Amino acid sequence: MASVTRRRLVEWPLTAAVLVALYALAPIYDGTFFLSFMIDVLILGLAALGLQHMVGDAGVLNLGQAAFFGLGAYGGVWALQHWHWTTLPAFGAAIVVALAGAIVMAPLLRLRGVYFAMASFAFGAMLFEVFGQWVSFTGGENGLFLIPFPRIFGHTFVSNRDVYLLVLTVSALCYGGLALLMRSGYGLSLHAVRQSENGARASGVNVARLRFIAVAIGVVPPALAGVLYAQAHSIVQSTIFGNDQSVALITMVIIGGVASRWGAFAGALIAQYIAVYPQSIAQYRFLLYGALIALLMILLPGGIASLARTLAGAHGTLRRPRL
Amino acid sequence: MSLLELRDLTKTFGSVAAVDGVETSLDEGEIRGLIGPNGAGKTTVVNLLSGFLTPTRGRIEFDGRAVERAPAHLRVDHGIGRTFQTPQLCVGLSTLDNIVLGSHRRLGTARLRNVLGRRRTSLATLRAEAAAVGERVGLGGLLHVPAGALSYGHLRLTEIARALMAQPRLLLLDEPVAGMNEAESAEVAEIVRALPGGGTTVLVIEHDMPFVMGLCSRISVLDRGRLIADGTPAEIQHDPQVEAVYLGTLGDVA
Repeated sequence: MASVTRRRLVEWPLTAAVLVALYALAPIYDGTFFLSFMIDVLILGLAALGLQHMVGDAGVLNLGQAAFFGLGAYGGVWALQHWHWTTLPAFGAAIVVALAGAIVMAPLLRLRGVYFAMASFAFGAMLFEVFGQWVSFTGGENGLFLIPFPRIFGHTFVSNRDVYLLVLTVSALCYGGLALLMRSGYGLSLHAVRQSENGARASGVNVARLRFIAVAIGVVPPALAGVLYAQAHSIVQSTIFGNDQSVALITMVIIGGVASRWGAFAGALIAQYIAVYPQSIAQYRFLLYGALIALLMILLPGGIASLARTLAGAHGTLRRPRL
Repeated sequence: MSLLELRDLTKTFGSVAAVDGVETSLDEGEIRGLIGPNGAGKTTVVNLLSGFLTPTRGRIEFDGRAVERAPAHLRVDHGIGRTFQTPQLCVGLSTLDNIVLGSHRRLGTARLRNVLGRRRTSLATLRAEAAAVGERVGLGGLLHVPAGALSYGHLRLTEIARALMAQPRLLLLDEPVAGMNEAESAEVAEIVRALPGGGTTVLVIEHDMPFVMGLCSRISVLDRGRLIADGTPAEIQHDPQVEAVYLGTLGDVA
């Protein structure tokens, strides 16, 4: 079983090493802009991670992912500000609100491929409108202010080092959780639905239900990301949950490699770097995205993840998702 | 006692009746052949029985229950399994995992009551079981090869193994030996012949007449959606209507 050996010898130690390196950034870059930048990378990476599960694992091309990022943020902030909950229960509130959104999206899952993509885009646009107009809940474009710092088990995460460590831990847990899920029977069924829907149906897979479950699981990381974003910035404005954010998230997933979980974070790193560092070209961000996607799709359909696999000498699966 | 009863089973596509008023019954433990010229509606019958299509009219009674409205995944629960004319496998997964998928309904995550209750079976247990089933159909050395690398014959065997993992009471085989050589199809015949002993009744569509005549206890003949004959291989071979449809191509093979 070559795949198991490769996982033991290469993937696990590599993942552990990257994780240790990421934790090591905290003391080294404590208090710097770079660490704040990395906080945003991880938060966006979380939102992209949920999207990667939908697109890459389940073949559900959701172009409205920013809506779940927003639902999580507003649900969590409501619990933080009105009920004075701490971060962990606020995560719970965020997940509940995001799941409610997933249930509203469920009927769209009857659609396939491009039709679902368009419908999900419209779903995102609709919720963006709600976020902008429902001022008593979301604060609209002006936003909600004075959101408290994250607080878990009596510890308040004030410094950017602390917040970074929290965001990194949540990201690692979501990453690990999804990795475990994909190795379970659930993951096997998802592979089957994506690769051979007829074969899956003949084996007793309830395809509609499985697609919904994948979406429901895929809204959890962005819901957590929403709360973390709000608490890290102490402000949320509806403008960050628009269609351009949805496009940015799908871009991250594609740049990183649709089939790769860590690709979601790699994509977030590149996208956020383009957005933040070269200030002079920030306004041309989408031009860069566009060029980058076009080039990647031609040269490297499996994204950055497949490049890394090729360099590592392992035969990566260069695949575009079946939608 | 009959396991499967079809009453006036009809499926129309627009003005074309692909399956037209089919009535027959299958006894528990029999191996039934379903033959007929191209376009006779054989695969449509399999699609109706497995829930991939819903009949326009008529009843499908399986083990005394009307199942014609049940979706495909619930037919598997009822005990109806199937294979496809063109194998429908996950080419990226190993042969073993493709077979495991057949036991989907027993997986921990397949149904809420599995997750909550104690009916769940672990993936490791099912993998062991799938390996045994794979051995049984002759895929022993290929279990860890990606399904995409299998030959056509092995793909068909993998599909049969996958269907068997659901422990079906009725297995629908859609051209199981198409494209196989004589030795391979003899192996498939052996596998199928052993199924009733394990509690699986078989309905097999096949164009390979020696295969069908040698394997089946009874044969049903479809022509343009209608059932034109139903009988033992000997009766079918001498049925004038069947001879007319096949223009004597049945020969004296049995």
